[in-house]
Amino acid sequence: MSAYNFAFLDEYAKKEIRRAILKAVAIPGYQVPYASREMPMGRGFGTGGLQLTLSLIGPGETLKVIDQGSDDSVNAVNLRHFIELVCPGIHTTTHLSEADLIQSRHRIPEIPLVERQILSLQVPYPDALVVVEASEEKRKIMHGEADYSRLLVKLYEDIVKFDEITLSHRYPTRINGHYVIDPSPIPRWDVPKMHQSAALILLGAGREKKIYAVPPYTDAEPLAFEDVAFRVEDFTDKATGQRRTCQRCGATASFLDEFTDAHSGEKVYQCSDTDFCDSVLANPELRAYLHPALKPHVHTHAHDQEGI
Amino acid sequence: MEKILEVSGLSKIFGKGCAHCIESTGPGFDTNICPHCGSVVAAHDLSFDLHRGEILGIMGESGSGKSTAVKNLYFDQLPSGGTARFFDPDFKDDTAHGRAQWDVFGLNAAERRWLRNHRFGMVYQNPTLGLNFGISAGGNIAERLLMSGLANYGGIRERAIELLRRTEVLTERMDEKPGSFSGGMQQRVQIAKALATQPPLLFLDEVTTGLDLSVQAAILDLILEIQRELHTAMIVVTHDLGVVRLLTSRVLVMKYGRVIESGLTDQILEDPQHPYTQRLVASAL
Amino acid sequence: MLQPILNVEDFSKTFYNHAQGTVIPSSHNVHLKVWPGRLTALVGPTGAGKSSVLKGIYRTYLPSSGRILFRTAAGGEVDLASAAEHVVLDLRREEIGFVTQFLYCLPRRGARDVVAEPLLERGVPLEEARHKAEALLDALNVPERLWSVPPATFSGGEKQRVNLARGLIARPRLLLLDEPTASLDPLTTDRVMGLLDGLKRDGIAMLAIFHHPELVDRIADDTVTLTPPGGSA
Repeated sequence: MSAYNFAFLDEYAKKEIRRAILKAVAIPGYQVPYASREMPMGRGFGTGGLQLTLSLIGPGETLKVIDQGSDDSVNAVNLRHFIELVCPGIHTTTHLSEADLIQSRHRIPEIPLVERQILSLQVPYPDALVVVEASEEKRKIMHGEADYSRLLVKLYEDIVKFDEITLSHRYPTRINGHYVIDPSPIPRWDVPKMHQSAALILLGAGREKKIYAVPPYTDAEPLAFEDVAFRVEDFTDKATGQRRTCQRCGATASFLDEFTDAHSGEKVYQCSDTDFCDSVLANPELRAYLHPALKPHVHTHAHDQEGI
Repeated sequence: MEKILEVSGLSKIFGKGCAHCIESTGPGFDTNICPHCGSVVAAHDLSFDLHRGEILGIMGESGSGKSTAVKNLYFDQLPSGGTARFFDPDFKDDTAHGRAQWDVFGLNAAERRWLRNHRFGMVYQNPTLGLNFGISAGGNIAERLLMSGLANYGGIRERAIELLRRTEVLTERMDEKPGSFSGGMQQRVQIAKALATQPPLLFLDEVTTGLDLSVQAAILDLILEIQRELHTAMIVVTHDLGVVRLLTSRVLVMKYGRVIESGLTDQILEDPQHPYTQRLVASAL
Repeated sequence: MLQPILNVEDFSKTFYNHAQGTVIPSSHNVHLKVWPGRLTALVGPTGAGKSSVLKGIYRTYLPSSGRILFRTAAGGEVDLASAAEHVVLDLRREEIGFVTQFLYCLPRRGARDVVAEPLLERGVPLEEARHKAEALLDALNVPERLWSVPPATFSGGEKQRVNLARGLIARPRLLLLDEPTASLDPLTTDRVMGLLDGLKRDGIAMLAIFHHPELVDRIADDTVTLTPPGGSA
């Protein structure tokens, strides 16, 4: 691999991306255009998040790569392998606490990130307004004037039809009181974790050639109406009235993926965040752990019973 | 009553224009197309005042330029010349954007948008211009309320229902898209939407043209009732003398981009001075 | 003697029909005054231009010459012939009323609301305006069953009564009346005259054209005689 520069990209490419990152941090939520390079994998496989990682990581630093919360899914494995190949001297890990840089597709980890860490999210569509306005020129004006009325109308129509806002992923979120971003296809569960995060959160769209950021300790507020609040996913089993738990580690308050058991054909539930699941297995006292940012949005049965 | 709008010398020319455009067009030349450069003089030297709560008519046949003033005031077009001043009756010191007086043709895009969303309303002849057919009738009104800063779903819904009831749209149909409504009902939704923000100034561009007579009458009646309640100042553009008689207290008569005559509506209809106005009034059915 | 509320100086009206190329003279050299609490009647044969005088004062016709000096409630003097449009509109709304021979109204508006309109324009609350309208319609013998009906289908006499009620309701300082009892039966005519007497007592000034000389004798405090143009009888 000596034919390639460290981290695959040439130094000019890295410099341009870093400048775009600085601009994105300086204007929270603003989509900064950049010259997204062709990577040795197709668009749609995380080239945006990848370019962020490659521009930032250095020898001696530790990288974690997850896809849908899991370190060992195919895409996560391939990306990690590629980065290891072109960045000799970096470390990789599956343990969140050891990582300096976390590249992720569609999930934010269950344990809060700390100040020295950076999260790099892979984004398919950077612009929250693309669902209501086809013209990029008009969207730019709407962003500039923080005019998101047409987006809110969409939410209004949802409430009219379904009595609630039905968006599950890519929930439009207002950053620092101005720009509304598409936070990438993370579930609603993960949106509160962006609010006042200690770590820097970067979002990169390779195909759309945009970089944007939620800087540390910045407000991130999901769009809602005064009288129709933002809600996160509810993992209550309707039949029993009980909150579902992870069948592997027993966690009672984590974001769960639903699988069909290959043998029994039954539906089973397991922590989406595999590293978190491992931690709970090793330390059962973590079973009831809930990310602090989620506490205002989740009412557990224990809380209800104690009359809190 | 105090002045709300003052338009001076408004002109609009489509095309590159030349030194001869003005002097070679107009009622005396029976055209508004310049024979030298082919430019269209849609309006020249249009001046008028409007007072609070007043309904002014601008009347003319096709090609008269009657829609030009409202199109420019509502920023659908930019004028070639002239000035306009808007005196905001709702101005309060504490609003972030508001002003007591606006130089309407000297604003930047954000200021124009603010006026459009907060102080002006427009009802078009063609409902596809004033309504978003991709969202429900209630959603159209919600959009305008959201643009003006209302953020409470229940409040928005209540206000939309109130407005639709006021404009006699069946509230059971508020969640349907306007495409399934009759022409008359589409116009009512447009009126409801235009009034959502209680604008002190409303533009109505041929809003009943093309509708059945009975529907026209009902909508004109509605406009008058609402005007009485809200004291909205209005500019009504029409080619129909009946609409002028019913709605307006003053009227401008235009031909080939020029104002031929102007005056109190009853005087224009009963004692027109200009030969063209006399012909127009005499030919009313 | 009180000051006149209206002073018409040398008013003339001539119509120019451009299509036919004709010139039609109407009122000429009219001088008249109207005082508060008094009724001035305009008399003269048909063609003398009596209606034109009323319309010229109200500005439905543009005077061809002359001054029409009106003393406003604020104490100033306005020449109605040359006043700005919005000044005339303000005066029509607040101080000068006109009972014409024609009634234009919207197809859906009931008689009561047609009558109430001048009060509504002044900002009077709906219920109060409607009560007053009903009282007047009653005084003019318009049956209650017609109060919610649009006047478009009324008889001439019924329309005239609605017109009258509308003219009287706002109690303007100056009231112009163009043949107010033309289509009315004697009983209702009597009622109307009684109402006009009442207005006089309340200080309202009136300038009126009556189709019957007896009515002029009965109620006019002053008369002005107009002659047709060119002296033709």
